[in-house]
Amino acid sequence: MLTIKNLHAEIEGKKILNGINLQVNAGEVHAIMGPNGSGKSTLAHVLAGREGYEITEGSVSYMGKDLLELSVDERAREGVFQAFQYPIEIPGVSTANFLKHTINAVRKHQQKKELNAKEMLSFIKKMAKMVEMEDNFLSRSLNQGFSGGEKKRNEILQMAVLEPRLAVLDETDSGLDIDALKIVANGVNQLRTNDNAFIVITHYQRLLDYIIPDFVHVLYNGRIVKSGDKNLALKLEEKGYDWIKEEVEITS
Amino acid sequence: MTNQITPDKKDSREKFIELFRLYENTLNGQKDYVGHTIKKTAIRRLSQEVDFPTRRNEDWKYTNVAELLQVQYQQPKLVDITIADLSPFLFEGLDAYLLVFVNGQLNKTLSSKDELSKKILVQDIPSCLQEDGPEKATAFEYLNKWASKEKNPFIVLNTAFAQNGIFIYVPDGLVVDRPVHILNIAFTKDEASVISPQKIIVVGENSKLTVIETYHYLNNPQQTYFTNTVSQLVLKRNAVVEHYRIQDEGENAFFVNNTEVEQMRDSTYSSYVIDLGGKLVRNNLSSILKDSGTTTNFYGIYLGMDKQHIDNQTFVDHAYPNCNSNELYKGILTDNAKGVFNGKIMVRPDAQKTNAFQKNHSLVLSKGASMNSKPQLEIFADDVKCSHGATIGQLNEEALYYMRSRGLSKKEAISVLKQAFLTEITELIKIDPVRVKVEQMIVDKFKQLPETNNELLN
Repeated sequence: MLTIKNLHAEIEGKKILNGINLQVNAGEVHAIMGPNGSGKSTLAHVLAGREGYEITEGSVSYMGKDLLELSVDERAREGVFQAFQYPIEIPGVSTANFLKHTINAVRKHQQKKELNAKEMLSFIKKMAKMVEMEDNFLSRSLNQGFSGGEKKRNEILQMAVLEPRLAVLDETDSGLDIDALKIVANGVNQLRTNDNAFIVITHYQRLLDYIIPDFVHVLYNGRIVKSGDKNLALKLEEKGYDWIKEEVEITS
Repeated sequence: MTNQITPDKKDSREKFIELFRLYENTLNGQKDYVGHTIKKTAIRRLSQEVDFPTRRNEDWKYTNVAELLQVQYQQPKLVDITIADLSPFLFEGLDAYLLVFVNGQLNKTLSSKDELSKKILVQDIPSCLQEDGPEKATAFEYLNKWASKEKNPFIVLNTAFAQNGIFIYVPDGLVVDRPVHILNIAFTKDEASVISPQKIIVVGENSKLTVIETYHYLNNPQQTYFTNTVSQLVLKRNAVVEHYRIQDEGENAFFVNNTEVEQMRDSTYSSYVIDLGGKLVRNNLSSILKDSGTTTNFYGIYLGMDKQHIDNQTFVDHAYPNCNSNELYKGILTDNAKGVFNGKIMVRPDAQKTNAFQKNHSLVLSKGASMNSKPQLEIFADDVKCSHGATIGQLNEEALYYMRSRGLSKKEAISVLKQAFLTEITELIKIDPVRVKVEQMIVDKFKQLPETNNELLN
């Protein structure tokens, strides 16, 4: 589904990604871990299409299309979803109206049947229940006055209603207590199918106790320096990142 | 007689004086003696004492009326319209008393004046002045003041040319059950008219009234005309008035709105000004607080596109203690539109415990558009809470990115953000059908922006 080949990216002249290679297939959950500054968020931003990053080398192919050629909203309509690390508050935009707009925009593009008002509301409410959000949040402005946990749950809710094929979770667990974490993880797990894929970017292993990854990759200095299964995450939890850094220094 | 007029001013005032002479001739035979004298006083003052402003007047520094004054205007003609003409201008689902004015003249057939008259006094001003009713004194008081003492030339002009002003009096202790919708339609054919709507509205003690004034046009969209409207509101003790002015005049129309309010003890006046149309728009809004315990809310939205010029001037005169005033005006300017806001607040020495807050926020979304915002607070009492704030900026890029990341196109996301910016005011509109229509009118206006328009982002 997603093939990243030798991706190099920089921001304001500073090199962040230095040759990422990654293959993600449908039905898989890939975890990307790494110390601060390794390029985790940059990878998420580049995949989502955020402006400001210059791709100096490499390619990203998504569902047979050149992902880098698509604008941020085109990617979203094609089924790429990013759950932000710091979701922004947008006063004056009601959550309900916003969701209605985006759900049908994406469905229309993917030639799925657009939902009418009644179907829409019941669909959103069903998903809201899954992430344990109260109905009243629908009438509030987007993320306004939401706690950190509520904002992250709202991200998962949006993911649930937009039904993406590729979801990138950018440190969704940061700032969450264990209960919020479980709700978020549960939401993600409920949405896993054989047709979609997840890239879970996280600093700590904790989230991966609940979202069991098929693959774990360690990002360091803008490169994937080690890949393994969920046990790699446990090893990192136990030993930290230093041993990886040493390994990298020895080999280079 | 006219030896004080400078050469450039002579033309514009002369034009109006000429027009008045023509119009005066048509009045022969009418019994409107008092009203006629008032008009003559007004036109004489316009030729001798009162002057149209230039850029040198501080209050008109950013608004040039030369173009408005250069036009040779005619008195508007009486025009008939049908219910079908009217329907796009009504609020769907709103049960209101309708007063329809076409070119400043009341259309009795389409109005519910008789029905409204059963509840409150509704009378045309000329009749008010002729008949010996209790309201005669009030009507005369204001008209005479406008004619002989008023310094605002546009009010003086209106006094001279108004053909059928309306006097509305709500007696004490009455909550008027439905809003009064004063629907003004400009319908001039191939000639530039000066339309002079005139209203005096008195609301008695403990009474409640909602007035919705709307301004539309049926003529050719490119037709030049000038709507110069005057409203005087008097709120007696503990009266509550909600006053909407929704303006959607033609793209070549000049619009000057003079709204003056007097508030007695404990009264509440809330004003909602929505400016969508017009080439040159100037709103003068003031409230004089004549006793303590009053509440004054001034809300406004202005949307400027193309070469529109929209100027809002407000004034609250706090002369007594324990009064609250609150102002919030928001606007969006694109293309080469220009916006102006000047909010004056006077807090006199006896006005202790005054709360006066003012905010003006504008989005300027193109290089050619501009906004001038000036707060002007003069505070002479020492135990008060007053604040003012103004921002002029662009759309939040992060917010735009977030929405696009959820599948909204750039254009859709910009539209959503612009609507969101104005929600702070539209959500204050308590009457659902009015709010829904205003939101729709705003969205429709956004759609007029060309596809290729690249709106500035932060």
